[in-house]
Order: sequence, then structure tokens, then C-alpha cells
Amino acid sequence: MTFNMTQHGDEWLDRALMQKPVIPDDGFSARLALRLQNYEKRRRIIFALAICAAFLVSVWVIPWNSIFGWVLNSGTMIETFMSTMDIAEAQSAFSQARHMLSSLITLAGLSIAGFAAWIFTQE
Amino acid sequence: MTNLDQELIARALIGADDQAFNRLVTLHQSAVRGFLRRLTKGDAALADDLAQETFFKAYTRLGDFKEEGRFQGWLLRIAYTMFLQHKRRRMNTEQPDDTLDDLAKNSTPAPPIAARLDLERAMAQLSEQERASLTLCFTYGMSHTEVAATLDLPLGTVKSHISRGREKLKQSLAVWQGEVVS
Repeated sequence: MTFNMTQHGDEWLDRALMQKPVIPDDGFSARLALRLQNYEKRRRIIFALAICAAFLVSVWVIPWNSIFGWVLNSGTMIETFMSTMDIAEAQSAFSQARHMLSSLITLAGLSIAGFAAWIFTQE
Repeated sequence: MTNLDQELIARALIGADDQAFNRLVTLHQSAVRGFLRRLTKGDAALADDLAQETFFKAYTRLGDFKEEGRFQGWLLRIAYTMFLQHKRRRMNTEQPDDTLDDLAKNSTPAPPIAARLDLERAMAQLSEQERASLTLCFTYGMSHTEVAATLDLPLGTVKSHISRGREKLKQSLAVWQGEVVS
């Protein structure tokens, strides 16, 4: 298209200004997609690590052993059970049960945290 | 905002479609990169770096986007902020580079076939706010109010930037008077 600047000075300027630059992608989107992919991966790993850390801290800080012990010892089922057994033997059995339970809970929690970490790091 | 933009944003936000944001990038990369190239006076590498930062920020802040505005306007606003931040960082570390300004000021009139290039050169002589206002208003068809919102400037300031910038361009391009350009 040809314009005469003398006759169409302003018009030419406006038209020239209105021309939208068409810039070919040239791998721009692909580079950005890769960067976003890495960002997502990093974000998921950090999130998974945070979950694991929170769980481990909770295992260390929260007195699970005492809580389960309290639940077990205060249950009526336990009282009934204890009344039918030798007290010392029953206490020893429940102490073992408490330790086993807390170990199981820790193990289950770690498995869940590991599984969560695995899920979050998947694409 | 187009329906396609709206749909893609919704899909990107709920995470249902990994490619939704990539499609938004493909749709708007030309506008954002073009705007930044004009702000950086034609420095394509710097403009592309800033465009990458712009889209990255848009990705992490997509939830903040208010649907009453145009998505492209929102992107261009982020791009402008990125440009200002870059400029501020650069000013803190080194002296501003006036090479392009000097080139534009000292250059001899270009032949008619280079009219487009001459416009870009004349644009490079404008202030950043004038360049940004003119580009947003004319090239991207934004209203003065939208330009004011995008650049975070008062409406009156934007109007005067546009009018002053246009006058400066006309003066710079006065050498073309009487020439036939294509």
C-alpha cells in the first residue's frame, strides 16, 4: 500500500502506529513451557517435602504414645479385659501394644507421606 | 476478553488442562513481545527475556486476574511493570545505555523504503510513558481509560502523553513530507 506523506501525513502515522507487530513464536512458547514444567516439578517436590517434614515433626512433638495409652487404658473394653487377667501381665501386654501401635502409626504416616511425595512429583 | 481466553483461564486455574496456559501464551506472545520490543527500543533479546518473566508471573498469579478486564491488557500491565523493574535494576547497577538514543538523534534520514524502521527510530526518541501510551492506544486499540489503568497513570496524563507523543512523531517524521513511501 502506498501513501503520499504530503497528503496523508497524519493518516500514514496513524496507520503505521496501528500496525500490530506479528512476531513468530520461534520456540518462545516451548521455552516457557519447559520453564513452567520445571517450576511445577520444584513446587511439588517442595510441597511433598513440607508434608513429610510436618509429619515427622508431629510424630516427634505430639505424644502419640501417651495419647494411645490414655485411650487404651481408659476404655471400658480394657477394664473388662483387665478384670479377667492378671494385672501385671495385662499392663505389660498393653504397654507392648501401645509401642506397637505408635510404631505402626509412624510407619503408616511415613508411607502416606512417601506416597504423597511420589504423587506430587509425577507429571 | 474473548470467550476462548475465558475458557482457557478457567481450565488453567482448575488444573484440568496442562496445555491451557500454553495456548494462552501462544495466543498472546506476539502482542506482549511486540509491546516490550517497542519499550526496549528494539532490543529483541531483552524484550524476550522480559516477556518470559511476564508470562511466568502471569502463570503464578493467574488467580489474581479479575475477569472484568481484558486478559491481554492484564498481561501488558505485567509486561510494563517488568520493564520498569528491569530499568530500575539497571539504573542501580550501571549508567543508562543511551546508545540507541544517540543513534536515533545522530542518524541521517533513512531512505523511503525504510519508513517503518524510521517510525521505530522516532518512537525510540519518545519517553517510555509516551511510547507505552501510544503503543497501547493505537497498536492494541485500548481506550484512554484502559491505558491509564494498564500504566497506572492518571487519565489526563495519559491523554497528554498520547497527544505529545504523536506530535513528536510527526515532527520526527517531517523529513518524509513530500516523499512517497510504501
